Amino acid sequence: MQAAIGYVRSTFTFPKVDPLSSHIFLELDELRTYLHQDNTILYFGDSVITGTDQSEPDQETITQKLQALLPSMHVDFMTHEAQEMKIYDAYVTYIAHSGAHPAAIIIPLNLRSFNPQWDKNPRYQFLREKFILTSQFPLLAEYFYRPLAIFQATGNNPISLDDYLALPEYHGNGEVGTVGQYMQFSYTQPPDKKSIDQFLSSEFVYPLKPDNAILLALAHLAKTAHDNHLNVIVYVSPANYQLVGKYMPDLGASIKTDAQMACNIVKAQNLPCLDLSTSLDPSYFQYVGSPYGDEHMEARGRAFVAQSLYKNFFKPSP
Amino acid sequence: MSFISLQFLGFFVVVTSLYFALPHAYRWGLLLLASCIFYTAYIPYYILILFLVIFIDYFAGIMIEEGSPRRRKFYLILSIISTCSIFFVFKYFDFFAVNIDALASALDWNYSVAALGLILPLGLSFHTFQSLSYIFEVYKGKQKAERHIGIYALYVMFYPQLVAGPIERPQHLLHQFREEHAFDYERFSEGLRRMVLGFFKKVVIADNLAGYVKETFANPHQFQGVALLVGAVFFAIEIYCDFSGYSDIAIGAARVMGFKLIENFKNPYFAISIQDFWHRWHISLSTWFRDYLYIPLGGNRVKPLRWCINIIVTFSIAGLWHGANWTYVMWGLLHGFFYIFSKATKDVRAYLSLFLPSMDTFFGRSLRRIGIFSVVLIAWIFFRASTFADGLYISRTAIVGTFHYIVSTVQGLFGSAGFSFNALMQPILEPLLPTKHGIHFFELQVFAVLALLTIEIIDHRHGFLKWVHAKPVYVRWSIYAVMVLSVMNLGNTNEIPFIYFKF
Repeated sequence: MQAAIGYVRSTFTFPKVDPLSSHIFLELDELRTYLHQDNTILYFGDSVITGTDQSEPDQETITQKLQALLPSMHVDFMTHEAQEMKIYDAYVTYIAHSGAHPAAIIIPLNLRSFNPQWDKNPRYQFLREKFILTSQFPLLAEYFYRPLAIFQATGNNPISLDDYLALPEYHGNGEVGTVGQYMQFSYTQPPDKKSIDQFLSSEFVYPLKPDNAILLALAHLAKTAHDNHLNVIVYVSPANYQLVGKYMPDLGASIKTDAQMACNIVKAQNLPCLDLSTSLDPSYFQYVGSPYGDEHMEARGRAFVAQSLYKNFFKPSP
Repeated sequence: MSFISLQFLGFFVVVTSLYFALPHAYRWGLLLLASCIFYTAYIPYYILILFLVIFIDYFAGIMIEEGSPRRRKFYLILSIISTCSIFFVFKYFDFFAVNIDALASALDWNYSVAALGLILPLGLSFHTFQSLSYIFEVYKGKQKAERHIGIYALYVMFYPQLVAGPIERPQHLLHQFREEHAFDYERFSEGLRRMVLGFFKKVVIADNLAGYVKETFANPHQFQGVALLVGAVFFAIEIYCDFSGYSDIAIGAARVMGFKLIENFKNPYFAISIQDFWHRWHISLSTWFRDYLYIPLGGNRVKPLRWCINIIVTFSIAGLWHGANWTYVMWGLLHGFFYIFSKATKDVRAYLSLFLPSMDTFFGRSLRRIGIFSVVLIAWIFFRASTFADGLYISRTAIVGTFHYIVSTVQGLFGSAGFSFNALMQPILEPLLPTKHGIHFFELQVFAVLALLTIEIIDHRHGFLKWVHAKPVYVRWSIYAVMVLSVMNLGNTNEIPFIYFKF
C-alpha cells in the first residue's frame, strides 16, 4: 500500500530583502579579498558543496576535503541559495574585468538547475548581484542599484510569482503542466510511476535544448573565461538518478546526454569539463529514503567529488 | 511610459529643456510629439484609437458650434455615441457579454455573445471623459470650438495627465496652450517640489503597502479578521497615495512648464461627511459626473424619490467607470447609499446633536473623521476585492475578527498569561510571514502610514509644500533630502503600476 509522504513543494517564498541594507553586498567584499590572495581556488556552488547531513560522523564538506588535498592552495567558496549558472557567469565576468587570475575557478553544474522550477524561481534570480557584477562600474552600481531598480533602469525584469507559477513543465518534449501545479503534487513512498514522472518533470529537463537559458549562460561564461585566460573548471555533479531508475530505465542515458551537451559547450572554448553525473549509486547520497533524491551527497560522495577534482585537475604530474 | 522610470525622468528633462528652448510658436508641436511618444511607450498602435476620438470630437465641436439648434443636438448625440462606443467596446463589451451569457444561461436561453478579449487602451476612461467634457461645454456655449486641431489634440493628449488625469475642462486648459510661458524659477521649483511629493507618496507609501494589500485580498480566507482590517486600511492608503501621487507628479510636471492643472484631492480622509468626502476625492471626476450626469438628470431639484434615483444612478455609473466588474458597481452603490442616508438623516442628527456635547471640537471632528473613514473603508473593500463574495467575507470578517482580537487582547492584559507584544502582532504580521513579496518588513509599512499621516495633517492645516517652503533653508532642504533619499532607497524594486492606469 502506498502512502503520501506529505512532501508538497508549496513552500515557495520570495527572497528576504532588507531595503535598509540594500547597498551592502558582502559577497563582493569577500570575493575581492579572495582575489587579492595568492594560490586561490574559487569554488562556486550551492548547498551541495557546503552541506552535510547533521547525523553524519564526517562533517567535512567538498571544499574542505579538496582543501585537505591541496594544502598549499586557498580553496575559497562562494555559495548561493541555489545553483544558478547566471550568477556564476556574472562572477566570472567580474573577475575578468578586475584583471585577477585566480589559480582556478570551479563551477559545478547541477542538472536539476535547468528546470524552470529552479532557473526561473524569483528567489533565485540574484538580479542585484548580477547587475553589480556585470557592470563596468561595480562600485557605482553597488551604491545606485536600488534607486535604479525602483526606477526600472537596471534592465532586470523580476519574475512575478504569478508568471513563475504559470511556466510550463515538460516531460520529454511534451508540456505536462505548470510549475504551480507541480508544486502542489504530493509524492508517494515508495515511489510509483506517476509520482516518478511528476518528480522528473519538476526536477529535470530532458532532453536539454541548445537554447536553454542556463546553457547560454554557461556558453557565455566559458567564452569569457577563454577570452580572458581564466582557468575555469566545470564539472557535472553526480545525480541520484538510480533511485528512480527502475521506473525509468533510460533516465541514466538521458542524463548522460544532457551532461554531454553541457560539457561540449565548455570544451568548445578549450576548457575542461568533467562529467560525474552518473558516477555514483544511491548509497553515496543524502536523503536516500526519499523518492526525490538530488545531488546532496554523504561523506563518501563528497570525498569522491573532491578526489575526482584533485586527480583530474590538480594532482602534480609524476 | 511610467512616471516611475528612469526613462520618464530623462524624457521629462529633455521635453522641459526643449520646451523652454523653442519659440512659443513651436511649443504646441513639441508637446504633442512628446505626448505621442509618451503614449506609444505602452501599446504603440493604440494611439490610433486616441486619434480617432480626437478626430470625432474635434469636428463635432466645430459642427455643434456652427449648426442650427436642431443640428447642434444631432451632432452632440452623434459625437457622444461615437466616443462612447469606442469606450464601451474596449472597456465593457466583454463584461456585458459575460453577463448576458450568464443571464441567458439562468433563463435557459440558447444565446451567447463571444467576448472580444481586447486589451484596454491605457487611460481610455480619462481621455474619453476629457474629450466629452469639451463637447458638452461647446454645446452649452461655454467654450468656443477649437479650430486648431493640433491644440485640440494636445488638450486631449497633454502627456502629464494623459493616462490618469486630472480630467480637465476645456475652459481651464485649452487657453493655456496658447499662452506663452517664460521660464520662471519659482514656478519651476514649485513644480519639482510637487513632483517629489508625488514620487514619495507613490514609491515610499503606496508601493510599500501594496504587498500586504495584495496578499490579504488575494487570500482572505487565510488570515484573521484583524489582518484583513489592516489590509483594508492599507488599501485605502495605497489607493490614495497611488492616485494622488500620480496627480501630484502630473500637476508638478505641468507646472514646471507653466501649466496649471486642476487639483484632484484635498485630504479626502479628513472629510467629516460623505458629501465632504466627494468634495475631496478625485475632484475632477466627481465634478464631471456632477456637471454632466447628475445635474442633467435633475440633480436635487426634483422629488425625493427621483433625487435618490439620480444619486444611485450617478454613483453606480461612477463605480462602473472604474472598471468592468460588479465590485466597482457595488462600490458606487455603497457610496450612493451612504450619500442618501447621510442626507436623509441630516435633520435627525441635527436634532440629536442638541442633546450631545458639541462635535465642533478637535475630539468631535476626529470622531466624525473616523466614522466617515470607516464607511469609506467598507466601500474600498468591495472596490479591491476580487469578487463580490470576497468583499462580503472580508468586510464581515474584518469587523467580527477585529472585535474578537480586541476582546482577547484585553483579556490577555488582565489574564494570568500576561501581555505579549509578539502575540499581539502575530495575526497582523501573518500576511507578511510566508513572504511572497520582496520587502516584508512591517517597519516600512508603519513608516509609510506615519509619513502619510504627518503629511496629511500638515497639508490639512497649512498646505504641506507651503509649510515646508516657509521653513528655514536647512530645515526645508533636510526635508527634501529625506524625501528624495526615501524615494531612492525605500521603494519597491518590483514594478507596481499605478492603480488608476487600468481604468
